[in-house]
Parts: sequence; structure tokens; C-alpha cells
Amino acid sequence: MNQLIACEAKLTVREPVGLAFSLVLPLVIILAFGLSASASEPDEELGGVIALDTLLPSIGLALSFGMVAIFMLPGFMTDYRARGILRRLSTTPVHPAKLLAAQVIVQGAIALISVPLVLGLAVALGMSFPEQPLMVVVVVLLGGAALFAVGTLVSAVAPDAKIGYVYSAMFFFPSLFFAGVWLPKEQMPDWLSTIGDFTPLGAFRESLENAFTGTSQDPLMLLTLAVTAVAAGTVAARVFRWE
Amino acid sequence: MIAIEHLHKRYGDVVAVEDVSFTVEPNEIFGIIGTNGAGKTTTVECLTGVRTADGGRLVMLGLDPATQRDEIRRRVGVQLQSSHLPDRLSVREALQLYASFYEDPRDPDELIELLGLQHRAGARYGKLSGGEKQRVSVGLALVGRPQVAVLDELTTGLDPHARREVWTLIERLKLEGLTVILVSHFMDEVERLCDRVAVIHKGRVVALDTPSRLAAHGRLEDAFLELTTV
Ligand SMILES: Nc1ncnc2c1ncn2[C@@H]1O[C@H](COP(=O)(O)OP(=O)(O)O)[C@@H](O)[C@H]1O
Ligand SMILES: [Mg+2]
Repeated sequence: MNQLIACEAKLTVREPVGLAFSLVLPLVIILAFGLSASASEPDEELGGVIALDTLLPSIGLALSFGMVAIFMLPGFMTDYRARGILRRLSTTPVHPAKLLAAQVIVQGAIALISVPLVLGLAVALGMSFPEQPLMVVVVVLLGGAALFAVGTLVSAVAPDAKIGYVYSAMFFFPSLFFAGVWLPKEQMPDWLSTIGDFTPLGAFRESLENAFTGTSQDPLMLLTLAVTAVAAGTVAARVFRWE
Repeated sequence: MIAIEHLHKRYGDVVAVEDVSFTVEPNEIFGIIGTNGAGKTTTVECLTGVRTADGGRLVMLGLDPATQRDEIRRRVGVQLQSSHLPDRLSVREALQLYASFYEDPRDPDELIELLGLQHRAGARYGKLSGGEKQRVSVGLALVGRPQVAVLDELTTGLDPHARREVWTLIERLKLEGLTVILVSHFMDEVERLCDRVAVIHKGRVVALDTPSRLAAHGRLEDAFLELTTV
């Protein structure tokens, strides 16, 4: 198992484009928007909060977790399926499920690495230190579980990397919208914003914001994350095609 | 040691294997030859437990492939037709990884030498030539010190030089005591390597003998064409 994890880690590092999207892109976005003076001032359009304290770091983490869980993980697993690597493995004493486990561990580690990077950069640019660091950890783990479950579901059903990418994109880009990345939620009609609260990426980002600012959590959003993790995970385990 | 009796396998309405029987002796190189779609791959996949047979009796190393798959996985090395590795994994990394799957594996570096891949040990799989990839694939099938190696379309797509390299490798492994089931659709390959050959046509064994006796009435290729033209 350790050898599998080591191999998957090496292969991930050798895929520099994916790594750049997961780790560097969120930092670039925070840097680009965080440097402007208005990001550090109460923003009318965001209902009076400071973008650097809320919107920017939560978008940064939503992006990196989304990239890793929704694109990287299925990208590798569907490619392994299409190339017959899963099938090849099933003729050895090691079940291909261990390869999936190794991938989740490696990609999960990258997602976790992005947390100190994103928050570190935001704090360096003037973000107030998160009010509830422990709650940040809880939300990161819960949201991570939900997004990785969705990524595993894509990995479970897509026959190859191209189709997997389409599934991922169909989930991810609308999710970004509902999470308020294109249009701040504060400017959305209420009903739209409410839908967003119950999408995994939206609930993840919103709950992160709450933990940053010390606002009390909406239990329904945390429930959304937990239900997504369990439901997508269960379905993925049922339908995973190991060939 | 290996026995198939009246194997039958269907995919929905398509009958892949109608009725196949043969036995393989220890340290034998046993060839399975036939045209595309004859049922060769399906036969060996049932034998290694990759697929479940619909009928017949199968014995692999005294084990039942349907119920003792785990034990078979430990003791049988498989080279699947068209199976690959990640492009960015190096030859040595791949063999080391697969070595870690088995209790008493071969030393990956010794195997690399046996495969004649010393100069390519650090090269990434995606950069290898077809012959080199095929040798890695054979290496993965052997790294766990299997008692039996099942090799499907060993040299399809290789140039003549690469084919001879792989053949030499198989001959050396026979000297080490390995039993080999070799799926092929090349006459010259089975003629050179195999102790006995089963000719499969439309899911049935239409001939089973040594290559020289199969070819008794002329070239093996003619015998083959005669047997498989209906
Ligand atoms: N997974 C599958 N699903 C449906 N039909 C299959 C499948 N695999 C093989 N077949 C069919 O079964 C027959 C035997 O195939 P196969 O065992 O692969 O032959 P060979 O290896 O001799 O070329 C062919 O008609 C092929 O189309
Ligand atoms: Mg075949």
C-alpha cells in the first residue's frame, strides 16, 4: 500500500498542469484580487463584509478542493480504467480498490496542503485570522469528504478520462456559479442563493466563510455536506467499474 | 496441473467459447492459436478467474478459478492483451510497485537485466518502444515468481527484431521451470516456442498436438488455414 501511495504521489507530481491548477491558481486569484485596496475594505456589494476576510479565501479553498477532488482524482482513475490498468491490477493479489484508496490519499493530501497555502497568503495580504480555526478544520474535513465522494462517483462511472472530464465539468462549473464565484451570492435573488447553499461546493464555501468570520453555522449546510459524502460515496461503491 | 473440460462461455447472446477442453503439463509451453474472435482470450480469462465460466470444469494449479481466485492471483502471472501502465511511471518503478504486491517477489533489478532493459530502467513507460513495453508487460507477469504465466498476444504489434527478443526471454524462463500458456495468432511463434498447441476455431478445439505433428502434412500455416477455414 505504501508503494502504491508513493507511486501515485510521484505520478501526481509529474502532472504539473493539474498540480498548478489545484495549488497555484487559487493563490494567483487571491493575489490578483487581494492586492487591490477595495478587497480589504467593507464591500457594499458583499453586504458590508471585507472580501479578503470572507469571499477570497473561501473561493480559493473551494477552487483547490474542487480541482483536486472533482478533476484530478477522476482524471487519474478514469485514465487508469481506459488504459486497462485497473483490469491489470485485478489479476494481482492487490485489488484495484487499493489504487483508488492511494489516489484519494494523495489527492486529499494536496487538498490539505492548499489550506495553509491559501489561508497563509490571505492572512499575509491582511485577512483577519479565522475566528473559529477548529470549525475551519471541521468544515474542511466535511467538505473534503463531500467533494471527494462526488469525485469518486465520477471515477466510478466514467469509461475514460474525456467523458469523466465532461461529467466533472457538468458538476463543477454550475457549482461554482451556485457557490457565488461568478456573481456574489449577496447579489443573487434569494431563491438562487438558497439553492446554492444546498450544493456541495456552495455549502462548503459558505460554511468556510462562517468559520472565518465566527458566524454561527447553518446546520442544514453542514448536513448537505454530510449527506453528499455518504450518498455519493455509497452509490460510487455500489457502481464502481473495476474494469 | 491445469485442466479445462468442456468450457462454455457466452456474452449475452454471443457464444465466445462453445466447448473447449485441454490439459497443460508442468514446465510445458502450451500454445493456444486461432483467428481473431476464436475465443482464445476468453478461455484464458476464465482459467485465471478474470471471468466466470458459464459451464464446464476448470482447474488451475489444483485450484478452482471461480472460488479460489485470490490464491490464483498469487501464483499465476498474467499478461493481458492490451494492458498498460501510466505513461509517467518508469520501468524500474513499475516493476518495484508490482513486486510489492507479492510475498516473495523477484528482485526488480535482476528482472530488468533478464528482460534486457538495463539501459531503459529509468525511462518512462510512455517513452518506450513497442518491444520494450511488451517486455515490461512480461516482466510484470513474472515479478511475483508465478508457477504459471499466461501470456496473451505476446508479440502482436512488435517488429521482427523485438519479437525474437521476447521469444528468447520466454525460452530462458522455461529453463527456470516456468509453465507458460501462450495465446497467439502467429504460426512461427508457436512453432518456435510451444511444446503443444491447441488450435481454437469458433469456440472449439479443432486440433491439439505438437507443432511438428500438426504440420506433418506440410507447413504449419497450411495446416492451420485448413483447420480454421469453414
Ligand atoms: N466483453 C465482451 N463482451 C461481448 N462479447 C465479447 C467480449 N469479449 C469477447 N467477446 C466476443 O467473444 C468472442 C471471442 O472473443 P475473444 O475471446 O476475445 O477471442 P480471441 O481472443 O480469440 O480473439 C468474439 O466474438 C468477441 O467479439
Ligand atoms: Mg484475444
